[in-house]
Order: sequence, then structure tokens, then C-alpha cells
Amino acid sequence: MTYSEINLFGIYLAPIAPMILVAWVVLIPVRHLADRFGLLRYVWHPALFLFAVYLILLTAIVLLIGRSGA
Amino acid sequence: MLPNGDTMPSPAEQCLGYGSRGNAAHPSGPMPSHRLGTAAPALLYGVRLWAAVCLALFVAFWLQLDNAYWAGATAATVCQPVLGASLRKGWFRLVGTIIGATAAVVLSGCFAQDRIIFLLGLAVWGAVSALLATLLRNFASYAAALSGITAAIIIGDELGAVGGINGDAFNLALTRGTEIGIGIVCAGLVLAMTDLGAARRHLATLLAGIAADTGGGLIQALWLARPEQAGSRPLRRAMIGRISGLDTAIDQAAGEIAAVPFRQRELLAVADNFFAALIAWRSIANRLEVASDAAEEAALVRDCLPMILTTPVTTDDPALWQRNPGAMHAAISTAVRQLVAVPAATPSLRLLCDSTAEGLLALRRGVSGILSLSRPGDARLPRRAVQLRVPDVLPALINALRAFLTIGAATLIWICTAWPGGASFVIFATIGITLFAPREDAAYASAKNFGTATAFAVICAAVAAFALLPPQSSFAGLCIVLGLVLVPVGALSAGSAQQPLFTALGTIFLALLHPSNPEVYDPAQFYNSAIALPGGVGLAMLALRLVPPMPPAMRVGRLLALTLRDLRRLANCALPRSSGAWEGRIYSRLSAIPDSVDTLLAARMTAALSVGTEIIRLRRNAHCFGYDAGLQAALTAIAAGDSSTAIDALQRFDRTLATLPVTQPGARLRLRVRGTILSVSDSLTRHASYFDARMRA
Repeated sequence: MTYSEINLFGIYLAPIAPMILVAWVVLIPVRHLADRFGLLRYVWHPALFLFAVYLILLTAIVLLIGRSGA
Repeated sequence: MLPNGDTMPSPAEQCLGYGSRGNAAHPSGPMPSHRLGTAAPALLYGVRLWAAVCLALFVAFWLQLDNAYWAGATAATVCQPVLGASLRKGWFRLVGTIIGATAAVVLSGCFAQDRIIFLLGLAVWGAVSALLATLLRNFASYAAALSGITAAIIIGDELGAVGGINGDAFNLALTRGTEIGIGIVCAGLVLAMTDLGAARRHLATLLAGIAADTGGGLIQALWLARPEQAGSRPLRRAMIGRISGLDTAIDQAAGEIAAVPFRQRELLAVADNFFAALIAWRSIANRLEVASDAAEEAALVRDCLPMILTTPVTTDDPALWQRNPGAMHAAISTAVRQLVAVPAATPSLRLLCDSTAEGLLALRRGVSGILSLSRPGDARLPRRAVQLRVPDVLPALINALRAFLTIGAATLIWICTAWPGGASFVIFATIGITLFAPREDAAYASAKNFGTATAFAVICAAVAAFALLPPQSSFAGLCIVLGLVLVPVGALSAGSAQQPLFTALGTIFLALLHPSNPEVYDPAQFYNSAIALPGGVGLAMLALRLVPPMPPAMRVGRLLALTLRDLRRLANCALPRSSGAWEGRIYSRLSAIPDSVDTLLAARMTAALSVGTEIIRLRRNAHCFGYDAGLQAALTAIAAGDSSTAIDALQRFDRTLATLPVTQPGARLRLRVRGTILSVSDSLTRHASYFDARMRA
């Protein structure tokens, strides 16, 4: 996978679009794990924390894809 | 452009204080300091709404999307004063949008060559979404309505001036989906980052209030004299409304992102348990009302209850149930153990003990529900099975037919008049007919409210578009103009009883203003939209008048008839594995009874529920003893609608059990069965006219 546009039935999507989705899919089990072990109890603002985790995941995916494409 | 999916404040919301913002403590009006205290959060919500819309527009402009205003309008629609409701609504809106966009693409792919069939397909899809919107509840209903509306929006964009297809459905579906997704994400981000949410706290308060009132009523029934028992019927009727509203509050709380996991299905089962507690309360009250000698037995039952449950000050205090659920849990467990161990000599005493124990056990699960909101690990609760509970399918079919006719008529008007604003007209007719129709009695009032919001929005958008925006040349200028409308509208939607009106106003304002980059000022387009929007809503209102929803009395009549039919089938058919399916079905019908109807009708429904559950129990126990034949005569009479014969047969069965020697194993269970027979007989005697009603084959 590279940073090139994705052809979806004739419509070109920005490469960030699938990465956003993948990061969200990865976040779901991460959140379940956090719930399972009660980790969010130690967080002041759970929504803010999860958003930060999501951004970290998205950044990691973007960097990983950039590295593998280079 | 879409309206919010708000309903009029539900009983749950009213209990939570979302519906009314009045200040009962100050009859002459709230004190200035109190006003400031309530105005500040409302104003803050207005700022949040404004920020969410501006962020959505900024992202959509930055991505150079065709109709960036969709992102802003979606953000305005999704924003709600209750955080959990906003997030939940956003999620379900996304689901509805994806389904609707897929339907639009499929319709375009299948019927691209035939305009009439294509538009008929749209009307059929609108009917399907109206059907599902009526069958489902809360935000799932909103998602179903959205699927119809989204299809209308995409098809409206796809069609030319008079309904010709341009074959761009997939592109439009993807673009609209992206714009709507941006709106949902931006609204969710702004609200979740700036608010910790209070829906779970409100849910705990609501559960504690219901537990306190049901528990208080159940225990107090043991004290009341025979004639006073009838006075508790209106209280139980009111409790049905409050318990029915619980699922809305649970749905809102499920949307919040909190530190502890939320157990939605367990909490829905808690709501069912409150119904079970009500049935137990009813059973106790009926017995004490019917039997003159049961007062002494009630005193024996009272002696089994710990002090904390018998002191009205503590039992009726919701704060105690909420603050110390552990103590209430322990007290109830003690009481249940003592009640089960009572050496009852008569079936009547056994019935009182068992009903009180059942009611208390159901309340204990309610207490566990409160506990699960703060300490989910400590509370063990059963889950509600995943099943679609449909009280009656006829109102949904009527709504589907109305939606089909309305959307069909709207498209016909568009084609015949070749009106450039016809697409918006069809879209708003679809919105009015799919979103408001499930509200049944309140549907017309909701559509009218939406029409009023449209009229105000036209004025606000005209002033903004032609007086305030032209001198602005930057995004900051656009934001300031939007803020002049959205901040007060948001504050009013959070701080007044007219929340649906103001939320719709904000959304329609953005749809009419049509902010774009660069800004386009087209008076002709504005006039067309300004006529099409109220026109579409007006057509929906007309349709609601021409094909009105079923009157409440007729709806309840059908619900009672369906329940009676099911009860007779239950008496005749094979023994079900559990009473869960029967109870779930009747709980949904109890929840569907409108508040305006007579208390007696709700009492008949609860009587049928109680008799059905007891029939299942009796059949199971009779089967254990091998006495199926003794019970069968009574069941056949119930199925035939002959309650006097059924009572006679039950008495014969009771005498058969009574003649068995005490030394024979199962004496305790036999006494329990005899208590159940007594309860069924009480219900059949009290509501004989209902149980004996003739039904069409």
C-alpha cells in the first residue's frame, strides 16, 4: 500500500480515507481491552484519551505505510 | 438540511428533567441567580453547536467538497444537549446514511432506464423505511427514517429538473456520505471533548426513583386496608409509563464514553424486572382486596421484612436506593430468604409470601442495575435476549402506506410542474412523513413544529444571506454570521421546552443558507428553496390529516385483542420453554399503551400478562406432578373464553391438590401451585368481561 489515490468503481479516494477506517477498526479491540481491565478508570477524560489513542494509531498507520512504500 | 430525530420529551426525559425546564420552587418565576445558573450551560451548548458546525464546514471547505453545507447541517442535526444522545444519534445517523445511500445506488442501477419505475422505487423504499422506523425504537428508529431520507436526498441530487436520471448516483452517494460523515465526526469531537456527560448519572437517578416508588408501593400494599387497595391502581398505571421510558434513557447513556463499561442489555433486562415487580404488586393488592381474611396474613408477611424496608421514610427515598444500593440489596436478600422460609398454612398466605418475594427479587435486580452503573464488576445481571418486540404491526403498515402515497404524490407534482425546487420538495415531504409518522398521536404536532421552524429559518437565512454575508470575505466572517444565529438557537434548544423546534431551526437555517466556497448569492435559488421546504413539510402534514394515525382508543383495543388472542393460544399450545418470550411481548404492548387511555385498559393488560405467566408456571408444575389432565379443563375453558368454567375447573384442581396428604413429597410446591391457582382465579373474576370477550376467528 502506498500514498497513491484509490480507485473505487471509478471514483478516486484520498489515501487517508482507508487509513482513517483502519485506525478506527484497530481502536475497537483496544477500547474493549481497556474496558476489560478497567484502564479508563485512571483517565480523567475517557473521550479525550480515546481520541488521543486514535490519533496515535492513525499516525502509526500512516508512518508504517510511508515506510513500507519508500 | 435534515431535522433532528428528537421526539417530544419522553417520560424518561421528563423524569430526567430534560423535557421541562420550569422552576417549580418559584411560582412567581425563577430567581435571577438561578436564571443565570441555568442560562450559562445553555449558552455554553450554543457555543458548542456553533463550534461543531464551523469545524465541519472548515473541514469540508478544505477538502473542496461539492456541497460543504451538508457537513455543517449534519453537525447541527447531530448536536444534542445530552452528550450520550448526540454520540448515539451520530452513530445511528451514519448507519442510516450508509443504508440509504446503498439503496439509492441500487435503485439507480436497476431502474436507470425507466423514470416512473425509478420514482416508484423511491416511494417503496420510503414506505419500507417508514415501516421500520415505526417498528424500531429510539435511535434505531431514527436510523431507519434516515435511510429513506438519504435515498431521497441522493436521488433528488441525481435527478434533473423534471426527474431525468444523470447516472451519477455512486459519486453522489459517496460525496454525501463523506460530507455527512464529516458532520457527525466534527459534532462528536467537539461535544465529547468539551463535555464529560451526565446521562449515566441521570439514568441512575431514574432507576433509583422507579425502584423506590415500586418498592414503596409493593410494601405499602401489605399495610393498606381492603377498600384502599383500589387507590393504588393509578399509581401502577403511572409506573408503567415511567418504566417504558427507561429504554430511551438507557439508549442515551449507552452513547456516552465513560470510564466504566456500560451493560446495555443487562439494563434493558432491569427495565423488564420493574414490570415484573409491578405484576407482583398487583397480585398482592388484588388478593388483599378480594379476600376479607387476608389482612392477618399480610401482617405475617410484613413481619418478615427488615426494618429498612418497612420504614416508609427509607423505602420511598430514591436517594437511599441510589446512594447505598448495597444495603438495599442485602436487605432485600434477607427479606426474600425469610419469606420463602415462612411455613404457610394456606394458599393465600403462600401467594402473598411468594408474590412479595418475587417483587422484591425483581427490585433487587433493579438495585443491581444501579450498582452496575458505577461498579459493573460487582453486579451480576441477566441479559435481555436480542429480539424485536413489536406490539402491533398495523400502525407501522399504515405509516408505510402513507409514506408511499406522500412520496409518490410529491414526485408526481415535481414531474408535472417541472419545478426547479422539486427535489427539495420531495426530500422535505420524505423527511416529514418518515421522521414524524412513528410518533403516532404527536406526529401532526411534530410536523407542524417542524413547519414553524422552517418559517423562522427562512427569515433568518434571508437576513444572513442577503444582508450580513455579502460584506464578509473570509471564513471568520462566515463563522461570525453563523454564530449570530446558531449560538442563540443552540442556547434556546438546550434551555427551553421547545428543543425539537430550535434544533430543526438551526439545521434548516444552514440548509437554506447553503454556505459554499466561494459564497454564491442566488435569490432565485433561495426563493425556490424557501418555497420547496415549507411545501414539502406542508404535504407531509396534509398526508397526516388525510391518512391519520389510529386513534389511541382503537390502538389499545387492538393491543388488548392481540394479547387475549396470544393468551388463548398460550393456554392451548405446547408448553413454552420459558415465560420470557410471552412476557417480553406483553411488556412491549404495555409500553405502547398511550397515557391518555383509561386505567382499566392497562389493568386488563397487566391481568392478562399475569395470567399468562401463571399459566406457564402452572402447566410446568402440573406436569412435574403428573396432573396435566386436572389442569387441562381449566386451560381449555380459558382458551374458549369461558372464565366461570375455568374458575370452576381451577377450584376442582385445587381441591385435588388439597386432598393429597401432607406427608407425600412436594407438599410445599403443591401449596405454591394452589397459591398460583388463587391468583389466576382472582384475575379471571376481576376481568371476566375481558377474558370472556368474543374474538373473530
